[in-house]
Amino acid sequence: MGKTIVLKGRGAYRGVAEGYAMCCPNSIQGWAGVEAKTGKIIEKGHVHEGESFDGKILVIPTSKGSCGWSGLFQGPMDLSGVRPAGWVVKYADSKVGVAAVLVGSPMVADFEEDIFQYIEDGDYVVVNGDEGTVTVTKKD
Amino acid sequence: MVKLTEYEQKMLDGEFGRYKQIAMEHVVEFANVMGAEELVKISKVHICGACPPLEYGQSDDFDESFRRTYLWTKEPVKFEGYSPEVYVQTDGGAVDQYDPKPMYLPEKLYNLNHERELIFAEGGVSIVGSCAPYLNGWLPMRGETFMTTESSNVLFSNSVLGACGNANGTAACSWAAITGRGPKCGMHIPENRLASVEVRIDCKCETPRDWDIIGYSLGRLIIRQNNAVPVVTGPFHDVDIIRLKRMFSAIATTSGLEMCHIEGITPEAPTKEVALGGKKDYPVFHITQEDYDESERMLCDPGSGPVQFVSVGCPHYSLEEIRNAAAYIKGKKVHEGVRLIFWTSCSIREAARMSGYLATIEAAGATIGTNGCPLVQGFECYRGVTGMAVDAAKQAHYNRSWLKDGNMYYGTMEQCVDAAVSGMWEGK
Repeated sequence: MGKTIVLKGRGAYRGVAEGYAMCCPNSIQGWAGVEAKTGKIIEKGHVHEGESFDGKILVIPTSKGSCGWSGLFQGPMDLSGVRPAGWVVKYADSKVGVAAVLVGSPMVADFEEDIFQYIEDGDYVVVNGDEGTVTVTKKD
Repeated sequence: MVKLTEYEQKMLDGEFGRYKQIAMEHVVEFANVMGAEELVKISKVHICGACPPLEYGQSDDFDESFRRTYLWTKEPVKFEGYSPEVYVQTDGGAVDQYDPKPMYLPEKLYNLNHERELIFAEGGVSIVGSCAPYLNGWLPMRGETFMTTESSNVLFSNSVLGACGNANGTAACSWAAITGRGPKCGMHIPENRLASVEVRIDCKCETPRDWDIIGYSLGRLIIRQNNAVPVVTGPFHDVDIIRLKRMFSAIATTSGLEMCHIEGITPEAPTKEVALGGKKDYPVFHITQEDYDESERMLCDPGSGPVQFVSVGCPHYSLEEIRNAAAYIKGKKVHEGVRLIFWTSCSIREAARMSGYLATIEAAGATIGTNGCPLVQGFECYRGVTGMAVDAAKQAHYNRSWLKDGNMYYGTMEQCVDAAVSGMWEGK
């Protein structure tokens, strides 16, 4: 077990979820960014190109690009029930807000600090959308 | 928790029926995610066409498609139309209005689209099919609240028109069109509209393509600043609608920016100081010629090569741009085996027909496409394509995901027409 860090944000969507972090410091492009059936990222050159967000704690700065951004998540939900288990969002803009409603996974958002300084891929993260806390257990 | 008016509470309690109640439940949940304290009236909505260009929510049953795409419920409710208090106009859709063949789209989808447009129109939606609704009569005024499924329109309507709206998505636009409400947040709040950074343009800034590349570069820069609202400062000159719509669609490709002041041009930025709301201490960024060149390299593959598909007009061309394109292509002939499509709305296509531009374009072997572009009518259109040329950063950026290993070339309208005529992209 690595060391544990607790980050405080705003509880944006209720509930508690846990899982491994999938960090996308440049978010995901809002159109042609995700394969609808699988939730696999298809944005060219993305740090997680070819990987699905299914069951992950998705760590993003905010949305990016098209108003279709929430559709990146609506498609996998509609077609196969695939979704991020939870969200950690530096700044929740309204595209992120729509995605939160569609997906229904716990979300903590609007942090003072740079979340990417504290969370890395593969860290184990507990998102508490009721309390607005994110508990990060570092991988080693 | 968001506070509701008596009317909004009644809708949430189901007094106006389950259909409106479901939409209001989503609006309230959305407002709570945003931390909004109250709702705002939404008077204009711009929403994906009746056959939306989406991989999900597809069904032979319209009501089922509607539930899965526009309403988001598993309950067996039917489409009951949109509020007459809201003016709703269609954004792009999955199929051309007049001819599915140039995009290799199935006849079945084409017919289905016409059927569903009638249902949509009956439900209070004006069928226009354009990503540039501000060229087609959808014009929220300063302070008016709107929702749109088109990201470049968010920037245009906030920045140029001074209207107030956030980027949302298809479902949220539909909830707003049903209820006439959305969360009060983001660009509805005056202080959020103020600039907090300055971006100086220190690169060439003349043609619409320059503004496109500057937009792409600005988006790359501003996403790293968490989409902080910028005031763009010059030197620049001869700024027009064509340049700004190009710039905004490119910014909206590489960032999530919703408002962009341009000093001396946009209404909330008569001066840099006003746009910044009197802030004295703010970061200043520069878009240099190196940034411009780097963006250009990201958008256009190097060298020369054959092209089979040339797509021009993003955002949808204005009548002026169609006029310019017709003048350039007059007397030329598109190479055998190459498709050249100029994209615009149905109403502008009709004006182009009346003005003779459509005949000139078709005589050259090109077509005017409507209701969308490759990004929304894609999938099939890349069949057999090893090289594609476009005149917009947004198209170059997104089409790469679908084009897979094919070459993507990005240039001016004139370079694109030349490539379609010779069948070859002549690169540097």
